[in-house]
Amino acid sequence: MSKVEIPSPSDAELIARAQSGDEEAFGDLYVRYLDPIYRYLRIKVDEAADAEDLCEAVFLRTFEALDRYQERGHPFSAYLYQVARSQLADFYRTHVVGVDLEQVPEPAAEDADPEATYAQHEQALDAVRSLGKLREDYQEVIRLRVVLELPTSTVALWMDRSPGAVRVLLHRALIELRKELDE
Amino acid sequence: MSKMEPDVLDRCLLRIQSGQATLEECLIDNPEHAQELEALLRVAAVTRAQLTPAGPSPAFRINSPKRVMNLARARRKASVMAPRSRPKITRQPAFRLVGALVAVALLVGSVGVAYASADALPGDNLYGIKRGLERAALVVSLSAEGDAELWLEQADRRIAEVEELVRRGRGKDVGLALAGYENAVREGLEIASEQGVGLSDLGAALSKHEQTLIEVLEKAPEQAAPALSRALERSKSGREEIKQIRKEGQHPSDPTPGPQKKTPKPKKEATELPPGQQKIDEARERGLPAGQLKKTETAKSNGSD
Repeated sequence: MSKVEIPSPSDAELIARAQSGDEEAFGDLYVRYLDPIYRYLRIKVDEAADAEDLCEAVFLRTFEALDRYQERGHPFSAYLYQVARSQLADFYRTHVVGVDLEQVPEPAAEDADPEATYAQHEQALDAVRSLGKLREDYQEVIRLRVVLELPTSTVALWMDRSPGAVRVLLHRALIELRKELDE
Repeated sequence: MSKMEPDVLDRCLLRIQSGQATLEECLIDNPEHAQELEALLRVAAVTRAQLTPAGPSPAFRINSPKRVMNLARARRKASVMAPRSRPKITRQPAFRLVGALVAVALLVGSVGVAYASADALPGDNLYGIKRGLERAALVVSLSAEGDAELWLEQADRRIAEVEELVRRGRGKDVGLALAGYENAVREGLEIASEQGVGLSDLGAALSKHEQTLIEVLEKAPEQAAPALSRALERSKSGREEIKQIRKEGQHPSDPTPGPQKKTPKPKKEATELPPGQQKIDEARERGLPAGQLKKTETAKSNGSD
């Protein structure tokens, strides 16, 4: 599960060290946030290789801008998320937009029942199609809070909303998703 | 039946995700909203099950940070070394004069800012400029000796900053200076260990730093004590590492330890670089491809003979 917890040493401490030239400290930040950032990107693009390229671009851009980084009430993970969104926007400008439904992975258990496998694949397609029909902020809150299982407080910081607003958004988003899945 | 509050859904989701409850237990705990809650939690469960992506591969996890850091270093070097093409601008004579005056004013201003930043401390407005100039010096340094010297100077400077910050009662800013100190020591040790340069200077400096840090620690505010203690440990462990490097005899060319007056070493002249690298560097400085430089040099030597 990709949880962003308060680790030790703190992000602020590692950032201060990285800003003073300690590359190892930035490496620690990289390892700390690789998983949630990669997974977030992986949901948004078809190919694992694209997610890897984007992920490296996010950290490279962050490293190069680190001298100018100031927390200003937003944690480092929220900054990475914003950089990731910006990289995705660049990516979409040069690639076909949207999830390729043919790319939804089929479960590949060796002794899987073909019928069950087919049903599962169909369910996955349904989920992708239905999610894609929702408003962008509904899709985003479901991706972050339900699929990536990030805590509400983190989702609130990443989406620049209050935790209460995120709860309301999630509630409405799931109601809409349910309607889409039922259709 | 009352309308379900969004908090109820979020709380149940959290309990299920953290393994504290099952969906059924959540429904039992919220009987008045059981129907709606069940529908939404099942939608959430299906969506998560179908869309949760795989994490990064183990190979990517290991190699990616190294690859990105190498790329960042290469780009940083390239941005400093790359010759820049300048657009040709034609101006009227009066504008030329104004342009020249503005350029002189900017140059004087920049030098002034750079000069003023020399005394800046962590937390000061000009401190970023001071550190930026230090980094720039490292980027243009051409030799391991030069790098070792610069890291040592940085370590000395950070310790001086720590002393000054404590004297001024600015304990909250000590951490940044000490982080820079630890980094400078680590880099210095890495060069000493890999290239066999600067061992003696670094050893002597670390002894001095250790003494200074002990004195500062006695006067420092409580909030600065943990960072000071850690830096002190770094100095000690650095000296141990130097002893170990000497003991292993990795670099017999390094002078024997002992009290030495630290004199700044001149940077290695370009002629001390490997011949191939020297030519490439010269070509870059002159904005020429290396091949073209070779032709130019050949023409020169032919002409002089």
